[in-house]
Amino acid sequence: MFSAGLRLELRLRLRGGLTALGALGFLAVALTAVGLTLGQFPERLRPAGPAIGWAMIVLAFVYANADWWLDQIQSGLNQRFRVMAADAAGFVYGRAVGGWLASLPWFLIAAWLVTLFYSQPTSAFSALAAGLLISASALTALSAFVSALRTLLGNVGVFLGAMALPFALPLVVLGVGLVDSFTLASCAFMLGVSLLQTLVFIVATRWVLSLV
Amino acid sequence: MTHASSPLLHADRLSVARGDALLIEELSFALQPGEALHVLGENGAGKSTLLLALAGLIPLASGTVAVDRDALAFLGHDNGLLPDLSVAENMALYAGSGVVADPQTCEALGISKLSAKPARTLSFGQARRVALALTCLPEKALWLLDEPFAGLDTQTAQTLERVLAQHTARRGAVVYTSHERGLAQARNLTLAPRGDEDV
Repeated sequence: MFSAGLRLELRLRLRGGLTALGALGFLAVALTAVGLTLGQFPERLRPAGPAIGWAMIVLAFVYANADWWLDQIQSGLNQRFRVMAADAAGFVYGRAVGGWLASLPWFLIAAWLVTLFYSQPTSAFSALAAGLLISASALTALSAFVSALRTLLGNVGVFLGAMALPFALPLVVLGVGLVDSFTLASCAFMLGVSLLQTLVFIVATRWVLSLV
Repeated sequence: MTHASSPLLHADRLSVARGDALLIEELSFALQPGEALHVLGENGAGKSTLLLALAGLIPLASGTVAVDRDALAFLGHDNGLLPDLSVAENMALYAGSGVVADPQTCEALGISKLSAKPARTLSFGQARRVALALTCLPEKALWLLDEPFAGLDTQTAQTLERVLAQHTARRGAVVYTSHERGLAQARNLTLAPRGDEDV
């Protein structure tokens, strides 16, 4: 069931399921770029561009992916699989991993766009891409946690979901630091934080959904 | 399928809440093999909520539901089809999870004519037929069906009645909600708002 979910998710995302995420990511990059390059002091703001772009991409990813998770959690398919399928949990995990894998190329594109907008050197692209790829699993799991809160609490959950976004702050801070100082040690530290957050958010998501 | 004489489903003093409202209160009933239960009630009386609770998809406020989870088949309001996949791909997806549609039911519901169509292009009635084919599995003893007749034309609805009757004749059991029609042999369970039920 895990592999069935994984294959299904990759196929669906390749068919255009990432359109919303791509559009949101592009919007985040574009808005940031316009704000920085057309502002009053573009030369002062330009060096901060990659870091701000990184943060915007992270937030856009969490919001877009949270909507996908919300559909998944509340869908009839999920209901029917929970009752009838041999391994519903494996199917959901497979889809989650598929969603994570499918997000990787989009992170690379987003990093490239930010680098391009701010005329950054190749090293900036490397730092951005590495930071985003390392963070992807934690951000995917955080998206699931936000959706679980929204499922549990209904309309109020939208606000609580937004309040969960600060959980992404460690990765944002570390990512911004990575852009400034791209070293193997900082990558390794960020990977550790990302894996830890991934596990915490998976456990927290399962706990919240058990209360629904 | 279970052929023992013990009930396939036994709800004991079942209470279910949605939000702050207690929709079902202290409801008890049992369903024997070969029985059908037609759940009736006005909108908001808790019919769908009852089926969700019986399926274990929402928590109970109190009481118990005794049922063999492996013997359950469930169809809610949502047909559970992925719109980006064709009918055949959807059925293959379900088959991969152990939910294999019965060929005879598929033939009766005319699924083969729809198999190449993307699920997003189906009418509601057509999608309901596919979902029913993926739910009405002979190897599942207890079928929980929420508005199974919704969107079906008269001929297909009659076909579905026959499928349900055949299942009860095989010592299976069905719990369904419907405003449109039902099985002649079905027992009625009327839910009233605030949980005043009449079996």
